[in-house]
Amino acid sequence: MIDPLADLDIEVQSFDIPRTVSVYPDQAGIRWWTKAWFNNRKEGEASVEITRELALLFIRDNIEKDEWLEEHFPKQMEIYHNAIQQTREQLLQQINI
Amino acid sequence: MTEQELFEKRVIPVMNRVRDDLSHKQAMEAMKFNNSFAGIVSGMGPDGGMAAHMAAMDSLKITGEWNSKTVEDYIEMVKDELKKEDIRVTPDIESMMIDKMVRDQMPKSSIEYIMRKAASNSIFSLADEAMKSPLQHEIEERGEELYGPTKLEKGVGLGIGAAADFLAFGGVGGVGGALKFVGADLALNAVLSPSSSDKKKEEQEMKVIEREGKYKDVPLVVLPGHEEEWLRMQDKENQTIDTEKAEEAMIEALARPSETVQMPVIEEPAQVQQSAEPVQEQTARKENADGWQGVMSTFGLNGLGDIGRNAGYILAMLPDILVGMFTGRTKSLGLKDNMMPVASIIAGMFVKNPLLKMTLIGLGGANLINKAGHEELAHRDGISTGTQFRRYDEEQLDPRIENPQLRGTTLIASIDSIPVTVTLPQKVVDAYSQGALPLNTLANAVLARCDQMQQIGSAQERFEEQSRTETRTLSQR
Repeated sequence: MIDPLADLDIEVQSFDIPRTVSVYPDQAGIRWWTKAWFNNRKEGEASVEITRELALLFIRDNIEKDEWLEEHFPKQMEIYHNAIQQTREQLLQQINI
Repeated sequence: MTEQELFEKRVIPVMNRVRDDLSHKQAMEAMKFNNSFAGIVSGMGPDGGMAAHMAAMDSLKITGEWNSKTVEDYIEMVKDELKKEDIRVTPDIESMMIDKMVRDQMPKSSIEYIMRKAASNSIFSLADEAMKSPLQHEIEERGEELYGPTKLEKGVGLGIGAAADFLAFGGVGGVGGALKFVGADLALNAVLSPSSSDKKKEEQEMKVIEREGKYKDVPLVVLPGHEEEWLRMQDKENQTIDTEKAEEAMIEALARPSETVQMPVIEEPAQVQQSAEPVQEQTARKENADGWQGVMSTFGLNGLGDIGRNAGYILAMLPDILVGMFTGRTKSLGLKDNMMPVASIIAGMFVKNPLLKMTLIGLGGANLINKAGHEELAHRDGISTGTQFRRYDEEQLDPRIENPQLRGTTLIASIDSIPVTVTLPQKVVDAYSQGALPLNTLANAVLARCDQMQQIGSAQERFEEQSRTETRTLSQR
Protein backbone atom coordinates (compact mmCIF):
# COMPACT_ATOMS: atom_id res chain seq x y z
CA MET A 1 0.00 0.00 0.00
CA ILE A 2 1.54 3.29 -1.12
CA ASP A 3 0.56 6.70 0.24
CA PRO A 4 0.64 8.95 -2.82
CA LEU A 5 0.86 12.15 -0.74
CA ALA A 6 3.70 10.99 1.48
CA ASP A 7 6.87 13.03 0.90
CA LEU A 8 5.11 14.97 -1.82
CA ASP A 9 7.82 16.16 -4.12
CA ILE A 10 6.48 18.79 -6.48
CA GLU A 11 7.88 21.37 -8.80
CA VAL A 12 5.93 24.63 -8.87
CA GLN A 13 6.16 27.25 -11.54
CA SER A 14 4.34 30.50 -10.86
CA PHE A 15 3.32 32.86 -13.64
CA ASP A 16 2.99 36.01 -11.55
CA ILE A 17 4.16 39.43 -12.74
CA PRO A 18 6.65 41.01 -10.32
CA ARG A 19 5.46 44.27 -8.82
CA THR A 20 7.17 46.50 -6.28
CA VAL A 21 5.71 49.50 -4.47
CA SER A 22 7.31 52.12 -2.27
CA VAL A 23 6.43 55.30 -0.28
CA TYR A 24 8.75 58.25 0.33
CA PRO A 25 8.55 61.85 1.69
CA ASP A 26 10.18 65.14 0.65
CA GLN A 27 13.20 66.40 2.53
CA ALA A 28 11.02 68.20 5.09
CA GLY A 29 8.88 65.11 5.59
CA ILE A 30 5.69 67.03 4.83
CA ARG A 31 4.65 65.76 1.35
CA TRP A 32 4.49 62.01 0.64
CA TRP A 33 4.48 60.02 -2.59
CA THR A 34 4.08 56.40 -3.64
CA LYS A 35 5.81 54.80 -6.64
CA ALA A 36 5.37 51.36 -8.28
CA TRP A 37 7.44 49.18 -10.57
CA PHE A 38 5.74 46.48 -12.68
CA ASN A 39 7.47 43.55 -14.36
CA ASN A 40 10.90 44.70 -13.10
CA ARG A 41 10.89 47.75 -15.35
CA LYS A 42 13.68 50.11 -14.41
CA GLU A 43 11.79 53.40 -14.87
CA GLY A 44 8.74 52.52 -12.85
CA GLU A 45 5.35 54.18 -12.94
CA ALA A 46 4.79 57.89 -12.33
CA SER A 47 4.68 58.75 -8.56
CA VAL A 48 1.34 59.48 -6.95
CA GLU A 49 1.09 61.96 -4.04
CA ILE A 50 -0.49 60.51 -0.90
CA THR A 51 -1.32 61.74 2.53
CA ARG A 52 1.00 61.22 5.48
CA GLU A 53 -1.64 59.04 7.16
CA LEU A 54 -1.83 56.69 4.20
CA ALA A 55 1.95 56.50 4.10
CA LEU A 56 2.00 55.50 7.74
CA LEU A 57 -0.61 52.79 7.06
CA PHE A 58 1.62 51.34 4.38
CA ILE A 59 4.77 51.56 6.49
CA ARG A 60 3.04 49.80 9.35
CA ASP A 61 1.84 47.02 7.05
CA ASN A 62 -1.74 47.87 7.75
CA ILE A 63 -2.70 47.59 4.11
CA GLU A 64 -2.19 44.79 1.56
CA LYS A 65 0.20 45.45 -1.29
CA ASP A 66 -2.30 44.61 -4.06
CA GLU A 67 -5.01 46.66 -2.33
CA TRP A 68 -2.61 49.62 -2.25
CA LEU A 69 -1.77 49.14 -5.93
CA GLU A 70 -5.46 48.85 -6.92
CA GLU A 71 -6.11 52.17 -5.19
CA HIS A 72 -3.17 54.18 -6.45
CA PHE A 73 -2.32 52.47 -9.76
CA PRO A 74 -5.73 51.21 -11.05
CA LYS A 75 -4.88 51.32 -14.79
CA GLN A 76 -1.66 49.36 -14.33
CA MET A 77 -3.46 46.80 -12.17
CA GLU A 78 -6.14 46.34 -14.84
CA ILE A 79 -3.44 45.55 -17.37
CA TYR A 80 -1.84 43.22 -14.81
CA HIS A 81 -5.12 41.31 -14.29
CA ASN A 82 -5.62 40.97 -18.04
CA ALA A 83 -2.11 39.62 -18.48
CA ILE A 84 -2.64 37.06 -15.69
CA GLN A 85 -5.95 35.96 -17.23
CA GLN A 86 -4.28 35.61 -20.63
CA THR A 87 -1.49 33.55 -19.12
CA ARG A 88 -4.02 31.23 -17.47
CA GLU A 89 -5.85 30.71 -20.77
CA GLN A 90 -2.62 30.06 -22.64
CA LEU A 91 -1.55 27.49 -20.06
CA LEU A 92 -4.85 25.65 -20.32
CA GLN A 93 -4.68 25.72 -24.11
CA GLN A 94 -1.14 24.36 -24.14
CA ILE A 95 -2.01 21.54 -21.79
CA ASN A 96 -5.22 20.67 -23.67
CA ILE A 97 -3.19 20.18 -26.85
CA MET B 1 24.76 -18.82 -109.87
CA THR B 2 22.20 -20.50 -107.64
CA GLU B 3 20.35 -18.56 -104.93
CA GLN B 4 22.37 -20.38 -102.26
CA GLU B 5 25.66 -19.35 -103.88
CA LEU B 6 24.37 -15.81 -104.41
CA PHE B 7 23.42 -15.66 -100.75
CA GLU B 8 26.74 -16.97 -99.53
CA LYS B 9 28.97 -14.91 -101.83
CA ARG B 10 27.08 -11.62 -102.15
CA VAL B 11 24.36 -11.31 -99.52
CA ILE B 12 26.22 -12.45 -96.38
CA PRO B 13 29.06 -9.88 -96.80
CA VAL B 14 26.44 -7.15 -97.26
CA MET B 15 24.54 -8.35 -94.19
CA ASN B 16 27.72 -8.35 -92.10
CA ARG B 17 28.71 -4.91 -93.36
CA VAL B 18 25.28 -3.42 -92.63
CA ARG B 19 25.24 -5.09 -89.18
CA ASP B 20 28.69 -3.72 -88.27
CA ASP B 21 27.78 -0.29 -89.61
CA LEU B 22 24.53 -0.27 -87.62
CA SER B 23 26.29 -1.43 -84.42
CA HIS B 24 28.88 1.32 -84.84
CA LYS B 25 26.21 3.98 -85.38
CA GLN B 26 24.24 2.73 -82.38
CA ALA B 27 27.37 2.88 -80.21
CA MET B 28 28.19 6.39 -81.39
CA GLU B 29 24.62 7.52 -80.74
CA ALA B 30 24.68 6.07 -77.21
CA MET B 31 28.06 7.74 -76.53
CA LYS B 32 26.77 11.08 -77.81
CA PHE B 33 23.71 10.76 -75.56
CA ASN B 34 25.83 9.89 -72.51
CA ASN B 35 27.96 13.01 -73.06
CA SER B 36 24.91 15.25 -73.51
CA PHE B 37 23.32 17.22 -70.65
CA ALA B 38 20.35 14.82 -70.53
CA GLY B 39 22.72 11.85 -70.32
CA ILE B 40 24.79 13.42 -67.51
CA VAL B 41 21.67 14.39 -65.53
CA SER B 42 20.26 10.89 -65.96
CA GLY B 43 23.31 9.58 -64.11
CA MET B 44 22.16 11.20 -60.86
CA GLY B 45 19.84 9.55 -58.43
CA PRO B 46 19.56 8.04 -54.97
CA ASP B 47 20.84 4.68 -56.25
CA GLY B 48 23.82 6.24 -57.98
CA GLY B 49 21.69 6.97 -61.03
CA MET B 50 21.40 3.29 -61.93
CA ALA B 51 17.62 3.20 -62.41
CA ALA B 52 17.46 6.68 -63.96
CA HIS B 53 20.24 5.82 -66.41
CA MET B 54 18.55 2.57 -67.38
CA ALA B 55 15.31 4.46 -68.02
CA ALA B 56 17.16 7.02 -70.13
CA MET B 57 18.81 4.26 -72.17
CA ASP B 58 15.43 2.59 -72.66
CA SER B 59 14.02 5.85 -73.92
CA LEU B 60 16.99 6.13 -76.32
CA LYS B 61 16.03 2.72 -77.69
CA ILE B 62 12.64 4.17 -78.61
CA THR B 63 13.59 7.67 -79.72
CA GLY B 64 17.18 7.24 -81.01
CA GLU B 65 17.67 7.28 -84.78
CA TRP B 66 19.86 4.15 -84.81
CA ASN B 67 19.12 2.55 -81.44
CA SER B 68 15.42 2.28 -82.31
CA LYS B 69 16.13 0.02 -85.32
CA THR B 70 14.45 -3.38 -85.13
CA VAL B 71 15.37 -6.59 -86.93
CA GLU B 72 12.80 -5.73 -89.58
CA ASP B 73 14.54 -2.35 -90.12
CA TYR B 74 17.87 -4.14 -90.37
CA ILE B 75 16.50 -6.45 -93.08
CA GLU B 76 15.17 -3.43 -94.96
CA MET B 77 18.59 -1.76 -94.74
CA VAL B 78 20.22 -4.91 -96.09
CA LYS B 79 17.66 -5.01 -98.90
CA ASP B 80 18.42 -1.38 -99.80
CA GLU B 81 22.14 -2.14 -99.96
CA LEU B 82 21.52 -5.24 -102.10
CA LYS B 83 19.33 -3.18 -104.42
CA LYS B 84 22.26 -0.83 -104.98
CA GLU B 85 24.28 -3.87 -106.10
CA ASP B 86 21.46 -5.00 -108.43
CA ILE B 87 20.61 -8.08 -106.33
CA ARG B 88 16.90 -8.84 -106.14
CA VAL B 89 15.85 -10.25 -102.78
CA THR B 90 13.53 -13.18 -103.40
CA PRO B 91 11.45 -14.72 -100.56
CA ASP B 92 13.97 -17.60 -100.47
CA ILE B 93 16.89 -15.25 -99.97
CA GLU B 94 14.94 -13.41 -97.27
CA SER B 95 14.27 -16.74 -95.58
CA MET B 96 18.02 -17.55 -95.77
CA MET B 97 18.77 -14.15 -94.23
CA ILE B 98 16.52 -14.97 -91.28
CA ASP B 99 18.10 -18.41 -90.97
CA LYS B 100 21.53 -16.77 -90.81
CA MET B 101 20.35 -14.46 -88.06
CA VAL B 102 18.97 -17.48 -86.18
CA ARG B 103 22.39 -19.15 -86.41
CA ASP B 104 24.06 -15.91 -85.25
CA GLN B 105 21.62 -15.66 -82.36
CA MET B 106 22.15 -19.29 -81.34
CA PRO B 107 24.04 -19.61 -78.04
CA LYS B 108 27.50 -21.05 -78.58
CA SER B 109 27.99 -22.62 -75.17
CA SER B 110 26.15 -23.68 -72.02
CA ILE B 111 27.32 -20.67 -70.05
CA GLU B 112 26.25 -18.27 -72.80
CA TYR B 113 22.85 -19.95 -72.94
CA ILE B 114 22.44 -19.87 -69.15
CA MET B 115 23.42 -16.21 -68.81
CA ARG B 116 21.20 -15.20 -71.72
CA LYS B 117 18.26 -17.16 -70.34
CA ALA B 118 18.75 -15.73 -66.83
CA ALA B 119 18.91 -12.18 -68.19
CA SER B 120 15.82 -12.56 -70.36
CA ASN B 121 13.80 -14.06 -67.48
CA SER B 122 14.62 -11.35 -64.94
CA ILE B 123 12.54 -8.22 -64.32
CA PHE B 124 15.54 -6.17 -65.47
CA SER B 125 14.88 -7.32 -69.03
CA LEU B 126 11.16 -6.42 -68.95
CA ALA B 127 11.65 -3.21 -70.93
CA ASP B 128 13.96 -4.91 -73.44
CA GLU B 129 11.59 -7.84 -73.89
CA ALA B 130 8.64 -5.49 -74.42
CA MET B 131 10.52 -3.56 -77.08
CA LYS B 132 11.55 -6.61 -79.10
CA SER B 133 9.81 -6.99 -82.43
CA PRO B 134 7.89 -10.20 -83.27
CA LEU B 135 10.62 -11.21 -85.74
CA GLN B 136 13.27 -10.75 -83.07
CA HIS B 137 11.29 -13.03 -80.72
CA GLU B 138 10.95 -15.59 -83.50
CA ILE B 139 14.69 -15.49 -84.24
CA GLU B 140 15.60 -15.90 -80.58
CA GLU B 141 13.23 -18.83 -80.09
CA ARG B 142 14.51 -20.56 -83.19
CA GLY B 143 18.09 -19.90 -82.09
CA GLU B 144 17.35 -21.54 -78.76
CA GLU B 145 15.69 -24.51 -80.45
CA LEU B 146 18.66 -24.90 -82.75
CA TYR B 147 21.00 -24.96 -79.77
CA GLY B 148 18.80 -27.55 -78.04
CA PRO B 149 19.47 -26.78 -74.39
CA THR B 150 19.39 -29.58 -71.83
CA LYS B 151 16.85 -29.50 -69.02
CA LEU B 152 19.64 -28.69 -66.56
CA GLU B 153 20.74 -25.68 -68.59
CA LYS B 154 17.18 -24.41 -68.84
CA GLY B 155 16.59 -24.90 -65.13
CA VAL B 156 19.79 -23.14 -64.11
CA GLY B 157 19.03 -20.23 -66.46
CA LEU B 158 15.52 -19.77 -65.07
CA GLY B 159 16.78 -20.23 -61.50
CA ILE B 160 19.41 -17.52 -61.81
CA GLY B 161 16.81 -15.14 -63.29
CA ALA B 162 14.39 -15.88 -60.45
CA ALA B 163 17.12 -15.41 -57.84
CA ALA B 164 18.03 -12.02 -59.34
CA ASP B 165 14.36 -10.99 -59.15
CA PHE B 166 14.15 -12.17 -55.54
CA LEU B 167 17.15 -10.02 -54.55
CA ALA B 168 15.78 -7.04 -56.48
CA PHE B 169 12.52 -7.25 -54.53
CA GLY B 170 14.41 -6.77 -51.29
CA GLY B 171 15.39 -10.35 -50.60
CA VAL B 172 13.04 -10.46 -47.63
CA GLY B 173 11.60 -13.49 -45.91
CA GLY B 174 14.70 -15.51 -45.19
CA VAL B 175 15.58 -18.80 -46.83
CA GLY B 176 11.96 -19.98 -46.82
CA GLY B 177 10.82 -16.82 -48.58
CA ALA B 178 13.60 -17.15 -51.14
CA LEU B 179 12.65 -20.74 -51.94
CA LYS B 180 8.96 -19.83 -52.21
CA PHE B 181 9.69 -16.88 -54.49
CA VAL B 182 12.10 -18.72 -56.77
CA GLY B 183 9.79 -21.74 -56.82
CA ALA B 184 6.77 -19.63 -57.76
CA ASP B 185 8.78 -17.81 -60.42
CA LEU B 186 10.00 -21.08 -61.94
CA ALA B 187 6.51 -22.54 -61.86
CA LEU B 188 5.14 -19.48 -63.62
CA ASN B 189 7.86 -19.67 -66.25
CA ALA B 190 7.14 -23.34 -66.76
CA VAL B 191 3.42 -22.68 -67.18
CA LEU B 192 3.69 -19.58 -69.33
CA SER B 193 6.43 -20.76 -71.69
CA PRO B 194 5.84 -24.31 -72.87
CA SER B 195 8.94 -26.26 -73.81
CA SER B 196 9.84 -27.10 -77.39
CA SER B 197 8.76 -30.72 -76.88
CA ASP B 198 5.36 -29.46 -75.73
CA LYS B 199 5.15 -27.37 -78.85
CA LYS B 200 5.90 -30.40 -81.02
CA LYS B 201 3.16 -32.30 -79.26
CA GLU B 202 0.77 -29.42 -79.86
CA GLU B 203 1.69 -29.45 -83.52
CA GLN B 204 1.00 -33.17 -83.66
CA GLU B 205 -2.35 -32.67 -81.98
CA MET B 206 -3.23 -29.97 -84.42
CA LYS B 207 -2.48 -32.31 -87.32
CA VAL B 208 -4.96 -34.90 -86.02
CA ILE B 209 -8.16 -33.60 -87.45
CA GLU B 210 -10.32 -36.66 -87.71
CA ARG B 211 -10.33 -40.38 -86.82
CA GLU B 212 -12.05 -43.18 -88.57
CA GLY B 213 -13.12 -46.76 -87.92
CA LYS B 214 -13.02 -48.10 -84.39
CA TYR B 215 -11.21 -45.00 -83.17
CA LYS B 216 -13.97 -42.61 -84.24
CA ASP B 217 -15.23 -42.27 -80.64
CA VAL B 218 -11.74 -41.51 -79.29
CA PRO B 219 -11.51 -37.78 -78.40
CA LEU B 220 -9.13 -35.65 -80.44
CA VAL B 221 -7.14 -34.76 -77.32
CA VAL B 222 -5.81 -38.32 -77.19
CA LEU B 223 -2.45 -38.44 -78.96
CA PRO B 224 -2.17 -40.55 -82.11
CA GLY B 225 -0.91 -44.03 -81.21
CA HIS B 226 -2.54 -43.93 -77.79
CA GLU B 227 -6.07 -44.68 -78.99
CA GLU B 228 -5.90 -48.38 -77.98
CA GLU B 229 -4.71 -47.46 -74.53
CA TRP B 230 -7.55 -44.99 -74.14
CA LEU B 231 -10.12 -47.56 -75.28
CA ARG B 232 -8.78 -50.11 -72.76
CA MET B 233 -9.08 -47.54 -69.98
CA GLN B 234 -12.60 -46.73 -71.03
CA ASP B 235 -13.53 -50.44 -70.93
CA LYS B 236 -12.12 -50.77 -67.41
CA GLU B 237 -14.01 -47.71 -66.23
CA ASN B 238 -17.22 -48.95 -67.74
CA GLN B 239 -16.78 -52.29 -65.96
CA THR B 240 -16.19 -50.55 -62.63
CA ILE B 241 -19.25 -48.37 -63.12
CA ASP B 242 -21.34 -51.46 -63.94
CA THR B 243 -20.14 -53.21 -60.78
CA GLU B 244 -20.89 -50.12 -58.66
CA LYS B 245 -24.35 -49.87 -60.16
CA ALA B 246 -25.01 -53.54 -59.37
CA GLU B 247 -23.82 -53.07 -55.79
CA GLU B 248 -26.01 -49.97 -55.33
CA ALA B 249 -29.01 -51.88 -56.65
CA MET B 250 -28.32 -54.69 -54.16
CA ILE B 251 -27.99 -52.28 -51.24
CA GLU B 252 -31.21 -50.54 -52.24
CA ALA B 253 -33.03 -53.84 -52.40
CA LEU B 254 -31.72 -54.85 -48.95
CA ALA B 255 -32.34 -51.49 -47.34
CA ARG B 256 -35.93 -51.02 -48.48
CA PRO B 257 -37.66 -52.54 -45.41
CA SER B 258 -35.58 -50.51 -42.89
CA GLU B 259 -35.94 -47.22 -44.76
CA THR B 260 -37.25 -45.32 -41.73
CA VAL B 261 -34.27 -46.36 -39.65
CA GLN B 262 -31.86 -45.04 -42.25
CA MET B 263 -33.43 -41.57 -42.42
CA PRO B 264 -31.52 -40.05 -39.51
CA VAL B 265 -28.28 -41.49 -40.89
CA ILE B 266 -28.85 -39.58 -44.11
CA GLU B 267 -29.72 -36.37 -42.27
CA GLU B 268 -26.71 -36.48 -40.01
CA PRO B 269 -24.09 -35.44 -42.56
CA ALA B 270 -26.35 -32.59 -43.64
CA GLN B 271 -26.48 -31.30 -40.07
CA VAL B 272 -22.76 -31.58 -39.71
CA GLN B 273 -22.32 -29.74 -42.96
CA GLN B 274 -24.67 -26.98 -41.81
CA SER B 275 -22.81 -26.51 -38.57
CA ALA B 276 -19.48 -26.61 -40.40
CA GLU B 277 -20.39 -23.80 -42.75
CA PRO B 278 -20.43 -20.93 -40.22
CA VAL B 279 -17.09 -22.11 -38.86
CA GLN B 280 -15.61 -21.88 -42.34
CA GLU B 281 -17.13 -18.43 -42.77
CA GLN B 282 -15.72 -17.29 -39.45
CA THR B 283 -12.28 -18.56 -40.37
CA ALA B 284 -12.45 -16.80 -43.70
CA ARG B 285 -13.54 -13.56 -42.07
CA LYS B 286 -10.78 -13.78 -39.51
CA GLU B 287 -8.19 -14.37 -42.23
CA ASN B 288 -9.45 -11.39 -44.18
CA ALA B 289 -9.33 -9.13 -41.14
CA ASP B 290 -5.79 -10.18 -40.25
CA GLY B 291 -4.46 -9.94 -43.78
CA TRP B 292 -1.22 -8.17 -42.83
CA GLN B 293 -0.89 -9.74 -39.40
CA GLY B 294 0.94 -12.77 -40.74
CA VAL B 295 3.46 -10.66 -42.64
CA MET B 296 4.05 -8.36 -39.67
CA SER B 297 4.52 -11.34 -37.34
CA THR B 298 7.02 -12.88 -39.77
CA PHE B 299 9.21 -9.80 -39.41
CA GLY B 300 8.73 -9.67 -35.63
CA LEU B 301 6.68 -6.48 -35.95
CA ASN B 302 3.40 -7.63 -34.40
CA GLY B 303 1.78 -4.92 -32.31
CA LEU B 304 3.84 -2.20 -34.00
CA GLY B 305 0.73 0.02 -33.79
CA ASP B 306 1.18 0.24 -30.00
CA ILE B 307 4.65 1.65 -30.54
CA GLY B 308 3.29 4.15 -33.10
CA ARG B 309 0.57 5.32 -30.71
CA ASN B 310 3.10 5.76 -27.89
CA ALA B 311 5.91 7.04 -30.11
CA GLY B 312 6.50 10.08 -27.89
CA TYR B 313 6.88 7.97 -24.77
CA ILE B 314 9.11 5.41 -26.50
CA LEU B 315 11.38 8.13 -27.90
CA ALA B 316 11.55 9.81 -24.51
CA MET B 317 12.48 6.49 -22.91
CA LEU B 318 14.99 5.59 -25.64
CA PRO B 319 18.05 6.66 -23.58
CA ASP B 320 16.69 4.57 -20.69
CA ILE B 321 16.24 1.58 -23.03
CA LEU B 322 19.77 1.95 -24.41
CA VAL B 323 21.34 2.29 -20.96
CA GLY B 324 19.18 -0.66 -19.88
CA MET B 325 20.90 -2.77 -22.54
CA PHE B 326 24.14 -2.51 -20.59
CA THR B 327 22.70 -2.62 -17.09
CA GLY B 328 20.46 -5.58 -17.93
CA ARG B 329 17.20 -3.74 -17.23
CA THR B 330 16.09 -3.94 -20.88
CA LYS B 331 15.68 -7.69 -21.11
CA SER B 332 14.22 -7.89 -24.62
CA LEU B 333 17.41 -6.64 -26.28
CA GLY B 334 19.57 -9.59 -25.30
CA LEU B 335 21.79 -10.81 -28.12
CA LYS B 336 20.45 -14.35 -27.87
CA ASP B 337 16.91 -13.41 -28.96
CA ASN B 338 17.98 -10.79 -31.47
CA MET B 339 20.50 -12.56 -33.65
CA MET B 340 18.43 -12.15 -36.83
CA PRO B 341 17.59 -8.42 -36.52
CA VAL B 342 21.18 -7.59 -35.53
CA ALA B 343 22.50 -9.74 -38.40
CA SER B 344 20.04 -7.98 -40.72
CA ILE B 345 21.35 -4.55 -39.67
CA ILE B 346 25.00 -5.61 -40.00
CA ALA B 347 24.31 -7.18 -43.40
CA GLY B 348 22.54 -3.96 -44.44
CA MET B 349 25.68 -1.99 -43.60
CA PHE B 350 27.73 -3.96 -46.11
CA VAL B 351 25.18 -4.33 -48.91
CA LYS B 352 25.59 -1.89 -51.80
CA ASN B 353 22.10 -2.20 -53.31
CA PRO B 354 20.22 0.76 -51.79
CA LEU B 355 16.86 -1.02 -51.85
CA LEU B 356 18.29 -4.01 -50.03
CA LYS B 357 20.21 -1.78 -47.62
CA MET B 358 17.07 0.14 -46.61
CA THR B 359 15.07 -3.05 -46.21
CA LEU B 360 17.67 -4.87 -44.12
CA ILE B 361 18.53 -1.98 -41.81
CA GLY B 362 14.92 -0.72 -41.62
CA LEU B 363 13.35 -4.06 -40.78
CA GLY B 364 16.10 -5.00 -38.33
CA GLY B 365 15.83 -1.66 -36.54
CA ALA B 366 12.02 -1.75 -36.48
CA ASN B 367 12.15 -5.23 -34.98
CA LEU B 368 14.45 -4.11 -32.15
CA ILE B 369 12.45 -0.94 -31.43
CA ASN B 370 9.24 -2.97 -31.42
CA LYS B 371 10.58 -5.42 -28.85
CA ALA B 372 12.19 -2.82 -26.57
CA GLY B 373 9.17 -0.50 -26.94
CA HIS B 374 6.74 -3.18 -25.87
CA GLU B 375 8.88 -3.95 -22.86
CA GLU B 376 8.95 -0.28 -21.87
CA LEU B 377 5.17 0.04 -22.31
CA ALA B 378 4.62 -3.08 -20.21
CA HIS B 379 6.88 -1.58 -17.55
CA ARG B 380 4.85 1.65 -17.55
CA ASP B 381 1.49 -0.12 -17.49
CA GLY B 382 2.70 -2.38 -14.69
CA ILE B 383 3.18 0.67 -12.44
CA SER B 384 -0.12 2.27 -13.32
CA THR B 385 -2.31 -0.79 -12.91
CA GLY B 386 -0.57 -3.13 -10.52
CA THR B 387 0.11 -0.86 -7.51
CA GLN B 388 -2.27 -0.43 -4.55
CA PHE B 389 -2.65 3.12 -3.20
CA ARG B 390 -4.00 4.47 0.07
CA ARG B 391 -7.46 5.89 -0.56
CA TYR B 392 -8.22 9.53 0.35
CA ASP B 393 -11.66 11.06 0.89
CA GLU B 394 -12.99 13.94 -1.14
CA GLU B 395 -12.29 17.31 0.55
CA GLN B 396 -13.73 20.74 -0.02
CA LEU B 397 -11.50 22.84 -2.24
CA ASP B 398 -9.59 25.59 -0.42
CA PRO B 399 -10.90 28.98 -1.69
CA ARG B 400 -7.31 30.14 -2.27
CA ILE B 401 -6.90 27.61 -5.05
CA GLU B 402 -9.16 27.91 -8.09
CA ASN B 403 -10.02 25.77 -11.08
CA PRO B 404 -7.53 22.88 -10.65
CA GLN B 405 -7.07 20.71 -13.74
CA LEU B 406 -4.83 17.69 -14.17
CA ARG B 407 -3.24 17.00 -17.57
CA GLY B 408 -0.74 14.16 -17.63
CA THR B 409 1.56 14.80 -14.70
CA THR B 410 0.87 18.54 -14.61
CA LEU B 411 -1.67 20.25 -12.37
CA ILE B 412 -2.80 23.69 -13.51
CA ALA B 413 -4.53 25.97 -11.06
CA SER B 414 -4.63 29.53 -9.77
CA ILE B 415 -3.23 29.98 -6.26
CA ASP B 416 -4.16 33.38 -4.83
CA SER B 417 -5.28 34.32 -8.37
CA ILE B 418 -1.81 33.62 -9.76
CA PRO B 419 -1.65 30.87 -12.42
CA VAL B 420 0.70 28.06 -11.47
CA THR B 421 1.73 24.75 -13.02
CA VAL B 422 2.70 21.98 -10.66
CA THR B 423 4.62 18.92 -11.87
CA LEU B 424 3.46 15.93 -9.84
CA PRO B 425 5.21 12.60 -9.21
CA GLN B 426 3.99 9.64 -11.30
CA LYS B 427 2.65 7.81 -8.23
CA VAL B 428 0.31 10.75 -7.46
CA VAL B 429 -1.05 10.72 -11.02
CA ASP B 430 -1.48 6.93 -10.89
CA ALA B 431 -3.36 7.21 -7.59
CA TYR B 432 -5.60 9.90 -9.12
CA SER B 433 -6.28 7.78 -12.24
CA GLN B 434 -7.11 4.77 -10.04
CA GLY B 435 -9.62 6.93 -8.13
CA ALA B 436 -7.70 6.67 -4.84
CA LEU B 437 -6.96 10.38 -4.71
CA PRO B 438 -9.75 12.90 -5.50
CA LEU B 439 -8.72 16.05 -7.38
CA ASN B 440 -9.81 18.51 -4.65
CA THR B 441 -7.87 16.59 -2.01
CA LEU B 442 -4.85 16.56 -4.31
CA ALA B 443 -5.17 20.31 -4.97
CA ASN B 444 -5.40 21.08 -1.24
CA ALA B 445 -2.31 18.94 -0.59
CA VAL B 446 -0.45 20.77 -3.33
CA LEU B 447 -1.49 24.15 -1.88
CA ALA B 448 -0.28 23.09 1.57
CA ARG B 449 3.02 21.94 0.12
CA CYS B 450 3.39 25.22 -1.83
CA ASP B 451 2.84 27.24 1.33
CA GLN B 452 5.37 25.09 3.14
CA MET B 453 7.91 25.66 0.36
CA GLN B 454 7.13 29.40 0.31
CA GLN B 455 7.67 29.65 4.05
CA ILE B 456 11.01 27.95 3.74
CA GLY B 457 11.78 30.20 0.77
CA SER B 458 10.81 33.41 2.59
CA ALA B 459 12.70 32.37 5.73
CA GLN B 460 15.73 31.90 3.59
CA GLU B 461 15.12 35.28 1.94
CA ARG B 462 14.83 36.97 5.32
CA PHE B 463 18.05 35.36 6.45
CA GLU B 464 19.76 36.54 3.26
CA GLU B 465 18.34 40.05 3.73
CA GLN B 466 19.60 40.22 7.27
CA SER B 467 23.04 39.19 6.26
CA ARG B 468 23.13 41.89 3.53
CA THR B 469 24.40 45.33 4.56
CA GLU B 470 22.70 47.35 1.84
CA THR B 471 20.33 50.11 2.82
CA ARG B 472 16.84 50.27 1.42
CA THR B 473 14.29 53.04 0.96
CA LEU B 474 12.04 53.93 3.83
CA SER B 475 9.43 51.36 2.96
CA GLN B 476 9.35 49.01 0.03
CA ARG B 477 7.48 45.78 -0.64
